Amino acid sequence: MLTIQGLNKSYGEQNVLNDINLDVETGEIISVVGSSGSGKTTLLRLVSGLEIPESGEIILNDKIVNNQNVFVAPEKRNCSLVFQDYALFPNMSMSENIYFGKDSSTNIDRVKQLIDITDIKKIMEKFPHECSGGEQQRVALVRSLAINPKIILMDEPLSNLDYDLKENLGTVIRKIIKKFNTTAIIVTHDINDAMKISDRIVVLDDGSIVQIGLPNELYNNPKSKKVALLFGETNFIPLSMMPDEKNYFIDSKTKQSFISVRPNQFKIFNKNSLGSENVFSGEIQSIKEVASKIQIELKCENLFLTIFLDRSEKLIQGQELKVIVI
Amino acid sequence: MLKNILKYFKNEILFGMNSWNFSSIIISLLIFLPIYLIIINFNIQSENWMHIKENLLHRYVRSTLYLVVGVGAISTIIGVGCAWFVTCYDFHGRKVIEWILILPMTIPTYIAAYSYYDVLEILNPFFNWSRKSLGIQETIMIENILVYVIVILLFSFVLYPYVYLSVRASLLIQGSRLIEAAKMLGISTDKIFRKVVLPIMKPAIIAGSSLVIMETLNDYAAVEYFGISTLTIGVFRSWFGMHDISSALKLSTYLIFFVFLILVFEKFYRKNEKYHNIRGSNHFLTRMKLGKNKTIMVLLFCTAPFLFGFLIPVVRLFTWLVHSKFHLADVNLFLIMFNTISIALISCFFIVSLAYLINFSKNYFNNDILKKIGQLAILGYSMPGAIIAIGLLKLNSTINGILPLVIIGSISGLIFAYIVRFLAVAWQPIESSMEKQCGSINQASRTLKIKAMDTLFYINLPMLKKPLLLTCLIVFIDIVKELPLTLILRPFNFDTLATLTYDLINQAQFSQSSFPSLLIIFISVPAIVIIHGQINSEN
Repeated sequence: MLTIQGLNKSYGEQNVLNDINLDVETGEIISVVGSSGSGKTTLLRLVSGLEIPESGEIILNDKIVNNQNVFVAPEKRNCSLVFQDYALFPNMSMSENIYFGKDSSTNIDRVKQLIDITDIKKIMEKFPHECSGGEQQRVALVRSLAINPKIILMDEPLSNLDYDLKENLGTVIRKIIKKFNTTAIIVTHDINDAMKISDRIVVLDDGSIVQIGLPNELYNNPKSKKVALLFGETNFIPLSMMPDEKNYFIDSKTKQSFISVRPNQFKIFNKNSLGSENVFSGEIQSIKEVASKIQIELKCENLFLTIFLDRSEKLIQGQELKVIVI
Repeated sequence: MLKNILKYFKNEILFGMNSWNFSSIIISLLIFLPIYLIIINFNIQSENWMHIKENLLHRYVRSTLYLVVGVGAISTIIGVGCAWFVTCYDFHGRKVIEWILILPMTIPTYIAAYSYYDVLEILNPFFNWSRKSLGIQETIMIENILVYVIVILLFSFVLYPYVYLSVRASLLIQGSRLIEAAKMLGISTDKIFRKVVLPIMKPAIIAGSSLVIMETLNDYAAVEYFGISTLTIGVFRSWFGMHDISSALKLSTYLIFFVFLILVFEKFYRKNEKYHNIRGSNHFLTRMKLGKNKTIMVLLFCTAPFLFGFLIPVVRLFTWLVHSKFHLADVNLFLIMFNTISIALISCFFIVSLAYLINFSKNYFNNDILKKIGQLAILGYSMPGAIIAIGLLKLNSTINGILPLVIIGSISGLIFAYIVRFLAVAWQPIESSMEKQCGSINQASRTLKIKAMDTLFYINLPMLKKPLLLTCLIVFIDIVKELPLTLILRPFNFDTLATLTYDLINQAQFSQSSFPSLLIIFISVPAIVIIHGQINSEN
């Protein structure tokens, strides 16, 4: 569906994207995650044709849309972009916004279905400034899908929304994209959004792809400290302490091998525990209550481990504790 | 390096070029053409040039420098002082003063000069005494110095609003939080002004005073009236007096050199402006209270520019008007008003439409070459009208050999000249409104496969209605007030209110000149008030 090969982009002296290679299948939802300035939005703009790359090739639906000698303008690519600020036309009602795109008025059945799924019928005659952020986001999504694009690109679609709305809209986005078998690339800095919505996740760092994979794969087997930390708190345990573990990575700075073990991957070691590998014992340095869990800091030799355990465990500071990685 | 440049051009020309971008580039280059012709003809042979160079050039340059430095400094002091007092202090009458301080903007420099035409006569007893006591040579010298002082003060009193508005807007947007932070640290008001306000206001001060200097360079009638030989006067004399376009072109390049120095200086400071942007500080400043004595001093400081720059000229013009019993011999005032308003409206339509179209292409298609060439098209505003006129004369003589096209002395030529001079006036507000409001909207409409023409008319136009109308007002006022360009390029027997005022003054008909002068002022006052109100509400 979409193939990107050797894509490079720079603004003046600053390289924004370096040698990007990516294949996206039809109907697949890909999330691009990374910190601010990692090049996520630039990648979307290059795919949509709003920016011209320095070099590289973009093939959309078996047709070259950009390489050394070809450039297809955004209006001819058949790929729509949902902007972070929604970019709804402020002088038009929501209905006019949806039907103003080319071919929207000829796809009436499709548009009706989209309106039903996103539940925006009641705001169709309102203007953007009269609607909430969530409603505007839904309309922007419907407007983009109404033109029947081959691929939909979404720039931080959930970043301006409250937690409740985020949960709900994330589900709607996935449902709608899957229903119409549209291919989607979603840029987000929130890994939780990416985990919920996407089939695969691409991690960008400093303009380069550092890892691509299924959400769980990236969560459990990150290929670098940065990727591991993107998914939240984790412990970096030297491979020498878990020699049988296969999912390790080599830190580019220290050249040492580490395994990322999440705080919730530990359990208190007892008689019933299976095996005696990957067992860590040490003194509890601190105990904190975090929502339904307790967070303890355990000092094992030179290593400080952060561990989440059930509140039911009765532990005290200074106590010796043995834990096992599950 | 070369490879990168080639790649850049390939991307922008091969991939980014289309009929919109191409036509916008051609229009921009056409608008730049008169200035280009002056620059490339710098070395053209001229029989009078040696005489001008040996006897007059140093005087032209010296006079221009005196005026530029004097007017720049005094209008900056007035503008910054007034902006600081009305924005940061609370005193009786502050709100009224805030408004009346912009009114001198409605008075063109030449009308201000005419309304003070007899100011030297008041000093006659002093000159008589001086001739007897100090000697004739010394009195001439004192007279010459006094003429400069008067013109510098006059110009400063009507041009300071450029600095005042720019500094005030900057203070409102950026200064409030910093001033409050400084106050919390117990820093004295005097120190806040010197160490906090002045450094952060530097780019705004430079921007405002650059406009003041450009207006000073543009003036022809006022300096001519007071007998000061500036470079602009030199350009006029070369053309009108000697019919020597080559010398006029050479003198114009000297003027362009002045302008470029100012532009480079301004750009340098504007570049640093981003470091002064304090995010999230656009809340209202709690104004400081003033004691009784200080209130009187501030009131005097802030009302003086209004008094000398607006009230006295307007009252004098009114007195003359009553004295003339509204009698304007042999002048069809209605026709002249019609001429002024219609040519201003037609030019305004073209200027705003072109600025809108080029900026739309720039914003919608994001072509870098158009962005750069577009900057050439707006250079005209920084050029004195006399330079543009000479550029057009050169253009006329160049294309007359190829095409039977008449630029000089035709309405279309005059409109083209106004476009060259005032495109920037429309360009800047349209560009910034479009960037602020239509950036992602235009990109969204591209990815939704909406035609550029539909986006232009059905999305951008309704969204930008308000800034476009405001821009029309600004351009309209500028054209109504414009004199040097109109004077050189107008068709035979075609008068505007500005040229009529100039002609009547030249015939020493001061009383009669008051009516067209007042009309120019009163056409501008409501427009200025609307524009200021709008800017205020945005800030």
